[in-house]
Amino acid sequence: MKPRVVLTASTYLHKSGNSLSEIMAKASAEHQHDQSDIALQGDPYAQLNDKRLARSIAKDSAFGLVAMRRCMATVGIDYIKHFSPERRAMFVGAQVATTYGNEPYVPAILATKSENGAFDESAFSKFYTKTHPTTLLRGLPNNLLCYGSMEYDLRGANSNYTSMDTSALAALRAGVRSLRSFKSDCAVIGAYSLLSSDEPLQGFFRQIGISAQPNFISNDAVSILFLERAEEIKNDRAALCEVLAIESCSTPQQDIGQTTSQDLEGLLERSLQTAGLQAKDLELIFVSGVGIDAIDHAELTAVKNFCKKFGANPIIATLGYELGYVCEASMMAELQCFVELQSGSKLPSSFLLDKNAPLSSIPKNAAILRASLWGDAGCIIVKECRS
Amino acid sequence: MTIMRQRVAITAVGCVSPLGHTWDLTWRGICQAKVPIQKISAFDAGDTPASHAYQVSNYDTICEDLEQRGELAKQLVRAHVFAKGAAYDAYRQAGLKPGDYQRNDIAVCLGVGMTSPDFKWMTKHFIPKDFDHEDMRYHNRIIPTEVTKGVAKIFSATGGTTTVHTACASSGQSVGEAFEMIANGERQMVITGGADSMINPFYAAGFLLLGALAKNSKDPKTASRPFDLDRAGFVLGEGACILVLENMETALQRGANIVAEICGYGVTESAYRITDLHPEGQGPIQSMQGALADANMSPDEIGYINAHGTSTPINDRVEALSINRVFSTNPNTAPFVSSTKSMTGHLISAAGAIELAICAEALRQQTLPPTVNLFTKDPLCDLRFTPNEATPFKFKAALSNSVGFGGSNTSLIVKQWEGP
Repeated sequence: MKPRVVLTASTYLHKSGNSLSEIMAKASAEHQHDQSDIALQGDPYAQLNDKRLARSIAKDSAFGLVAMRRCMATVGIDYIKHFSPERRAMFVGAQVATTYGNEPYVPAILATKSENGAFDESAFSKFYTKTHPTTLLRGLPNNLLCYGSMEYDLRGANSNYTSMDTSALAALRAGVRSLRSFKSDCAVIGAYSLLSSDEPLQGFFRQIGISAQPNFISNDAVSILFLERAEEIKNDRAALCEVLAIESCSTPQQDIGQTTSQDLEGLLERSLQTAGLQAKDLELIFVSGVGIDAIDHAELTAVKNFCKKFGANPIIATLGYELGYVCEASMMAELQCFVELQSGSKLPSSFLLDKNAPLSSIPKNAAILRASLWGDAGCIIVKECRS
Repeated sequence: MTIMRQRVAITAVGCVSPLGHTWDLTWRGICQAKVPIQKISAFDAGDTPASHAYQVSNYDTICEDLEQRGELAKQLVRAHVFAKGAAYDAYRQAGLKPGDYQRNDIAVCLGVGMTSPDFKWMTKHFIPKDFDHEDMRYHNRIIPTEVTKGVAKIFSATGGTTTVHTACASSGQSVGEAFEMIANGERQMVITGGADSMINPFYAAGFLLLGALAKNSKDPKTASRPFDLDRAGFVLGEGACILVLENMETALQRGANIVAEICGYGVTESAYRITDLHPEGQGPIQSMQGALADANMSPDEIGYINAHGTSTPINDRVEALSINRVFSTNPNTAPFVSSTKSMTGHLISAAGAIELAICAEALRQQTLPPTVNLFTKDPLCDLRFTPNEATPFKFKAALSNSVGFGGSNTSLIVKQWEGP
């Protein structure tokens, strides 16, 4: 028997809201959110109230730290003290930004410009001192891991993943593995992606034609989860959901958007097997629905074929239309949406792919399926904890 | 609760390093205590105060070899070229036959560097904000996970790719994670390791500004001198090391050549400062203890430690202190220690992988790798060294340490393979 790993706290920040509850309420048009109050639209350094961090870490990791503080406040500092620092793990799916962290080199590069307007690489060695001494550190992709660990004295197992769309999945998998193997007693799982202001990546999307697809919007999101072993939760804290399986598969082709529906169907089947569930046990399947035709088509075909093959009849939903493409933070909104459903929140009809088939009861199990823009696809199976 | 674990074998190693374009050449260079440092040619270093590095020589030759295999090598960043070169080397040595594994039973987990833009890209696109140029079509080439996917393609692996970045601990972690994937029964084979090249004007400047690099001296060949009293910083290296890990049982069934067995992985966060180690070794000590516990071994079973040993004043002192807190300090029974960065340079995200591979080969060959340029031992680094030349020695287990900016520490333990 493997130990059960459960989610006991979570935070999700997105340009549309400060939590999945807010985002779902807004999507249901039950709540008009004050846009000025949204954390991801503000200045992360001001929210962190730490001027030193403005020099030390780039904006993307700073937003990660904002979200982490919110999540840890929910967990409670006293609660964290139940765990010895060496048993507190942290795993992060981090953005590989091509903007953040490179800006500080610009003054030194500009100084190499000669009278004829050409830049001289060899002259960079004369001007590099114009760069702030900590520039190299500012752009490190593992800054959230570093500063988050320092702030909460997380000295246990850790890693930082730069796997694009499956970064958050890799972090979650590592956290679950660490808890199941008793190498850790609790784990913080972080994931962040600030795509909307990553100009080079936006240029790339335009060049390869993705931006022209009418339903594609790249967006910003940060997610933090807190995991524990179900059997050892202290102080009568509630488990929000159990993570049963985390699987991924890759396509060896180098081109973007190559995940096929067959790959995804196989992935879904393997994930269910790992989770010890039958197809009919799945009441809800989230697909990513990021608005890229090839990906959306592969996901829907896979789910339809899967349902036909096993006679399953789950509700199919997507948060992609609402939240857009959030790369490294992918799959985390769906996971937290499942948690919200457990507390009785309604699944907004705008999330449903078939508007005539609403979710009639609180789902016991769900699959979160994602074809990847970068060649790797993922599937997470979650289970309710109410019973 | 007892967790059933699978045994994990290293069945092949591939490498592109400053010592050579294959693992055989790299190991030979280690045994010959070579110091292949050279003046930087990967970019126009001008009058930089750190003008030498451990560069991979004959870069164009690797590209040509890859092009002959149908790879578009000239479009790839250096780390990607090295990763592919090393992956082909490992693939050749693994002796895989069709049908040995289902493709989805093979995963890839690599530590990959920041693969950031070069000077030309910054001046052509970043500064003028020209992101609608047709060149941007190839912008994905600087995304680290492309390197991992490139290696997956060579092995036809469809069992998922994972890319790790924890600075200098990256590939210590990627190998550790690959080990855990197999040990926990998630996959039968994982291709792992790391690739990096920070021989780039921005990174060189960044490290110089942090005071981490050894500056120019009369004799560049002695610039990297781990644990020496006169050490003054590290020297950049570059390259890739790819290891093939397999479930021991299936590896034996297919008749694989076992290099060594991985049996322990320890990983911790110092949670102290972004660049500095905790002065009392908080982090590295627990990482080594964790690896020993994971391997169910006592400290006296470790015959050799490949230290992170960067040649910076603080790293080497704290690492020596940490090793002495975990292992015997008796000069006759303490494990031998060396830092092979004196021969490879600091491969940053690829360092952990190449150093673990050195441990595995050292066990197979029963040879202790040297620390080159260790002339005057720092009294604060009181360890049992093998200075300046490789030494034959009978031992059964070795440990490799990695430490990264950001506070991640890893320790991996390998055992000698003595037969089924």
